[in-house]
Amino acid sequence: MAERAIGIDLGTTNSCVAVLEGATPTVIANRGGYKTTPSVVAMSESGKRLVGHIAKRQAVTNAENTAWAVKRLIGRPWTSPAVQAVKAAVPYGLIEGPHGDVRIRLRDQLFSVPELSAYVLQEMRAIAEEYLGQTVSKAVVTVPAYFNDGQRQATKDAGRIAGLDVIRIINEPTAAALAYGFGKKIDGKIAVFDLGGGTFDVSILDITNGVFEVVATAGDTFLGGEDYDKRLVDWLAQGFAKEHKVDLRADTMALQRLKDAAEKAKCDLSSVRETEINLPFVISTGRNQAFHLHRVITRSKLEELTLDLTERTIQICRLTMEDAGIQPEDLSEVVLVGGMTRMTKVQELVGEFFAREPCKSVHPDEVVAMGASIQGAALVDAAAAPDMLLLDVTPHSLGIMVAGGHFHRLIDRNTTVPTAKSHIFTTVRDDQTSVKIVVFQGESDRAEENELLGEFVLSGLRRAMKGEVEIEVTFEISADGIVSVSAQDMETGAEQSITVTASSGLTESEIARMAAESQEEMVASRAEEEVEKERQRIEKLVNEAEGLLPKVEEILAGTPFGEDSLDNVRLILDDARMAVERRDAGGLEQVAEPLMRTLNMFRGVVDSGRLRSG
Amino acid sequence: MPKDTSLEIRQLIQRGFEHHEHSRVHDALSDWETALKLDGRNAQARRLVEFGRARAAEIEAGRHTPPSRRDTVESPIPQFLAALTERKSDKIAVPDERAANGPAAAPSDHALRLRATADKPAERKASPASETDVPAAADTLEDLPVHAEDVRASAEELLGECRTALGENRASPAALAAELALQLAERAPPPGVDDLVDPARALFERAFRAFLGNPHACPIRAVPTETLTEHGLDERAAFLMSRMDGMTSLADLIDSSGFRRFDAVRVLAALRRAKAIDILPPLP
Ligand SMILES: Nc1ncnc2c1ncn2[C@@H]1O[C@H](COP(=O)(O)OP(=O)(O)O)[C@@H](O)[C@H]1O
Ligand SMILES: [Mg+2]
Repeated sequence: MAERAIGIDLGTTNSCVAVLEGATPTVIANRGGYKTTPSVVAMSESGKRLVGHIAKRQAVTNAENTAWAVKRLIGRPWTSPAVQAVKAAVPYGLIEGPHGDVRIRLRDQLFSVPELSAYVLQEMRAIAEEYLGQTVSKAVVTVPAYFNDGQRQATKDAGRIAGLDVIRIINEPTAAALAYGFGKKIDGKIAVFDLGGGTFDVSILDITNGVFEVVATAGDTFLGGEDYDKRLVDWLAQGFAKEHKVDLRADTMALQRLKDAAEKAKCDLSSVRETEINLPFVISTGRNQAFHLHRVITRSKLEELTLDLTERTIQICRLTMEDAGIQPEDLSEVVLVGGMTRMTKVQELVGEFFAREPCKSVHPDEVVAMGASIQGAALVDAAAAPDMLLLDVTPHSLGIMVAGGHFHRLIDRNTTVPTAKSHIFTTVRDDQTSVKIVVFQGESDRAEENELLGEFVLSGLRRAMKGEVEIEVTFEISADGIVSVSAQDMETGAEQSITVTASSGLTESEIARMAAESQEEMVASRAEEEVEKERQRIEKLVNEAEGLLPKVEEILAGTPFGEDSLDNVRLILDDARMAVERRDAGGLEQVAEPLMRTLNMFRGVVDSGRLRSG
Repeated sequence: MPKDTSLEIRQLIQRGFEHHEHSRVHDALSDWETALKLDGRNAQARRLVEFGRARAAEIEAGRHTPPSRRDTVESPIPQFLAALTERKSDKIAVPDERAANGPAAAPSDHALRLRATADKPAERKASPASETDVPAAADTLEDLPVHAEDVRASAEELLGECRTALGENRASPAALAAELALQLAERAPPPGVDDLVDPARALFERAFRAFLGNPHACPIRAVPTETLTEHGLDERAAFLMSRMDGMTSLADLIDSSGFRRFDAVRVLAALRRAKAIDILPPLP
């Protein structure tokens, strides 16, 4: 069967996967029947990795071991303000990694951000594979338009760790526009209004002959559906406190239920005008006194509680449009993206501001993945989407630092990629034998005000008067927006280069190791025969151990190796039996080692028992 | 294109659950049957119809009493704890659950026989608290006229009973003994019996798990959550109940509770003992 490429929207709160079937993108539902999967990864007490809904459902009660919204961290250096802002806001542990990157602690394990994103990608991949009935190795993954090179690189790394060849990274607004078929239909400007679970983005795209250019993009990485939920949670908790003098938010179980219920009510209110929130026995004070929460909420109440949030998105749109010098009437279309745009008030205010009816699909949280799948199909099979040409632009200017701390731009912002550009520089001192190339991105003329992407040294230059030795610096940006920079000594031809990966925070060998590690997992969880083999092996071991158990019990009866230790061993056998019955690859992996230890111990005990009695 | 009935099915299944919680078995069954008619391949609807029919037949045959109409069953646990404080008998019996829960209970469920009182009447008299009358279900044994030695002896017997019962595949008494031992440890007056009970946690967990049965089976609510206090259950039980959707298995529920695994298993066992939940067979 022909290799297919899937499209993945790796979102801050939810991820979504789609594949092009015939000419239509199909969004694939997960096992629970949902078409989006929470981008949440957690570690349970028994060391089991939880991904998706199951992880989200325990995000409050197991807050310290649950990573969510890691997209806000991906590809960012530890010292960046964004990371520090997240650190202050989340209950899970963030620490500085060995390369100035971010590591996340769940239970006793440290994870890099791409690794955690990889678990989500792996889940999306598995959902697609189950649906398609074939393995999938190629994917197009979307990122926000403002993602810099490091963030894009880190997203690619995540794909690699998940065993996916990320054949292209594309911008989310571009993907949404593709899903609407705008590449063919429209020549002109469109606005993409994307209000998701944790972030808000607005982008203006200019589409000419199927080429998409991001003209302007802005947003707020801390404004989204969760803020709406929180308003509702606070309203419910305050009402409850007034009546019962208890703050539900102080109790993790109550808060978890409150959050779940608030989000559900919010979503319900997009289609009905009134809904009930019912949380029986949400908390108790002392023995036998249970408190129930029962409340009715109307759509207009929700709108009232969250109006300022919705207005803030409009305010950002206004500033962005002004900055870009664009009037609403210059736009051909306005597109709604993100689950929160199902809220009628959001649609209403967007329509008002842009003075037109926005395009909305029934499922605005699925259009980005749909667009990505269209792009994926076009890339693996040009015939599938013949006249689609998709080009993106650089979101930031790129250049190097020159004498005096100035920023010398080589590639301007909004340049269509792929692209390459060279410039010749010279030495600044007499007898200078090496030059340091320091790469930045940003719009300021002062290099230090821009973002450092990486640096390298070209040495072995001929001793000469300043300005005599010439060095050619070349910037290249691939179609994914990945930057490589090289410097060449024009006299000797000696060359140095880097691919800007520094801000991904992972070294090549680390990525390779992680990919190998999760590759093993993938192989284990995908290849049925492998699981079956392991299951049979473990089953044999369990059978043997269970067979020896009575003998062991007999020998050990009344010895210092007491019943309690035997109980631990029995628990291991129970776990192993369960994993065997469940055909649970992860469980089998987990029990293999303790089971082997147990069995060896049993064999030893029985042998020595035999010696003693024989 | 057939019209998308998935939302309607989900709502019907949901409404069926609510009927079921309130012991309206026939209404529940009828909603589930409607759901199955909408989509004959819906595994969840099919499973619920089977469950509903079996339950209706049990009621018909008098083999099942809906929990809300059942005479309030005294939880064996407060009784046990109260009995610990009774001076006259030198043996107390934990009430046989079979008697409490009707003929449906397994015949292998023996009553636990436990010796819990002291044979040191002199010392007992010295205890001032023993002069006062004691409420039947106390929160703590600290104020109760029990002796540390009595408590210790009881704990030891409970541990023994748990182990024996589990060894004989009598999961229900094993789990009950485990629960009683834990409650004893939680309420025992100083110096307590933690040194006995803590090392037995693996045993207890096995007992609870055995009592819960197949970890892929999916629990559903059998009583309204509001009524949990009547069964002596707390908000942790209510929390776990709130996560039950008929699709989430026991194993997943335990993993996604955010509780320590031991606690989750223990609370689920308590829910099962109180018949506050029903358990559906695993999804295919
Ligand atoms: N019907 C709905 N009405 C209102 N909000 C919704 C609805 N469906 C989903 N949402 C909200 O959309 C947000 C998720 O948006 P989504 O686009 O999936 O996330 P992401 O930020 O990952 O792009 C959540 O806050 C969710 O509650
Ligand atoms: Mg999104």
